[in-house]
Amino acid sequence: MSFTYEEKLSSSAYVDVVWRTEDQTDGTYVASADACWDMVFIKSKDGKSKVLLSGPSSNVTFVPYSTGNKNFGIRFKPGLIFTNILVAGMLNATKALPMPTDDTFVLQGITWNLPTYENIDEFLTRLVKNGLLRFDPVVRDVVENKAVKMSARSIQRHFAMTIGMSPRRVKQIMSARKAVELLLQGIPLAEVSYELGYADLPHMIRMLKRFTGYTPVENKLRGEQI
Amino acid sequence: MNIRPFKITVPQKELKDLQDRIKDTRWPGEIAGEGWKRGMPLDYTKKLADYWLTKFDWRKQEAKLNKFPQFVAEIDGQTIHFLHVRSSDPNAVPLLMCHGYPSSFVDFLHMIDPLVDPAASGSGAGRAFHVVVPSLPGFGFSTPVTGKGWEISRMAKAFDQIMRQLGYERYGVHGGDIGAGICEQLCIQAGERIIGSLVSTDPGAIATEYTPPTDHLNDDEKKRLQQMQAARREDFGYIQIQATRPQTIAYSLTDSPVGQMAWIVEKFKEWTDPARELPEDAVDIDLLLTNVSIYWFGRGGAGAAHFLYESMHAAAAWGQTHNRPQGFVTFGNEPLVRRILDPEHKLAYWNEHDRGGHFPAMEAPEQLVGDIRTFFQGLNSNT
Repeated sequence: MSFTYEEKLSSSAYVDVVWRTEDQTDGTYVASADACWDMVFIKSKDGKSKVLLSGPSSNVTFVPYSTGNKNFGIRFKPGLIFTNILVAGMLNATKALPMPTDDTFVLQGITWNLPTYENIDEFLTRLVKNGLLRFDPVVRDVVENKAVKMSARSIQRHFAMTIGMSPRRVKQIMSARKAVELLLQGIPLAEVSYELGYADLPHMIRMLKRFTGYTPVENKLRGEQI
Repeated sequence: MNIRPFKITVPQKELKDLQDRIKDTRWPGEIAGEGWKRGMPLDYTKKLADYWLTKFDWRKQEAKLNKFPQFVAEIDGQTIHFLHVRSSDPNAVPLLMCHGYPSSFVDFLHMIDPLVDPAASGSGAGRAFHVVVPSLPGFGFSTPVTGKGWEISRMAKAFDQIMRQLGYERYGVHGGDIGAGICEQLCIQAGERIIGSLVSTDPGAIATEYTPPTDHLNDDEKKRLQQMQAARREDFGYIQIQATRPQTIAYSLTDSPVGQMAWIVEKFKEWTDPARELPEDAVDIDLLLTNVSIYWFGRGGAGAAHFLYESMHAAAAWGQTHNRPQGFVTFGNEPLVRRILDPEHKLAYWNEHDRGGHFPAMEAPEQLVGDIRTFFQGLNSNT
């Protein structure tokens, strides 16, 4: 393993997980496709900070890492909307946020002090208080498999505006991620394939390769959470 | 699948029981001067109950319904009642029509003859249809519901089985309200076998909790939508009760005909053409009370409540799309309906009518028949 990883839950309803890593070597991390937004705070070994905002991704992305970097980040729940940021420009994109000083950054027109892994919830609370985070209730409920009284067409349009992808694509991505999670728990391939509704094993292999960058067996051998 | 012929024959004893119960109604008081604000007003409810008791002739309505061939099928242990009228035109298109809430298969009574035999109905030549109208499980004579899980995707699957059993390899679908949801499920499940789906809608469809995306609206339109939503905020209590505690409300609806009548007719007041003062101005009073009577005799109040419970507790069937031609016809003049439901004008068919509301098959059957003919005229119905 070329970096250490830990994560914690957040008190914010908008957040899936807060995580932090420390890079042990130089390398490139293959990040799976993801329907969620992320924020990443990086501190390199020379003390320089960087803040990245990353939109949903419909394909595998390659994320470089360098020895000595200390990183933490927020993975938001699917259906989250940054009030003033259109998903259109952020699909498959990661942008470095402007930093007026070494320890401040600009997000949605407001200058923020750099948070830490420990006090990240305060930053999230302030985002919410300023009305800068909200949910698309349709997307949120649909991905949680809750009943939504709406046509497939309207649901598609909600997904297009919130995640920038079709519900079908989002479902494929979520299934692929879920498959890796189950494989890492030691559940046999055939069982995972059946459980998640893949037509057959080759179908699952294709989908995992496409959305996680690795085949099921490679994912098992790699042994890394995605 | 076992399909048997069916005739409606309400026993005399049940008819007498209904009349006794209407006579013996224990009436509530009323806060004066509130009109329809707190629900169905006392004087109108008494008047309608009196009509039901003294002027409405169930046997006459029953005979009218029985002029149409009806059947029951057993699917998954559930009795499903449907009406099936074959056209004599060899080129007729098979058409499945699904009702919504709080209505029943009687919605479509005035549309069947013109659809089956356009020439004889005096509405000129046009495409003819073989018509199939099921009672949704829990409604009409598809009662009682015998098990859990009868939500729209399962209903769609059952209706598709019936259509195939009847020999209709490809067919068109039409519906509004719940029926529209079933049409969509059929497009997803049956794919190419669905010729096309024509759905009826009304301004109420864009004023619910789950409105399609509205970010593209301009400020005036957004304001107008907020006003529409505010005006309808108190329309949805019925969903909350039925979707959460169907068994509790079932006792009242099954025990009190006037209670069941008010539960249904209030929605006809709110959802029919706003230009019509009373529900009976929008929908023929005998048709309205036939619908209410069917809920009463079939214990549909309980069935409908359980249906809403199932709908609200079913997993969203997401990630599924379809490519079947879709059309919308909206009743009630409201430009926002298309701005929200079809902003890019991409649907295969769109039409709007000034009059009518949530129950177009009863409020404006001629217009709806016209839309069905036009929509399917343009589609390839070859098998």
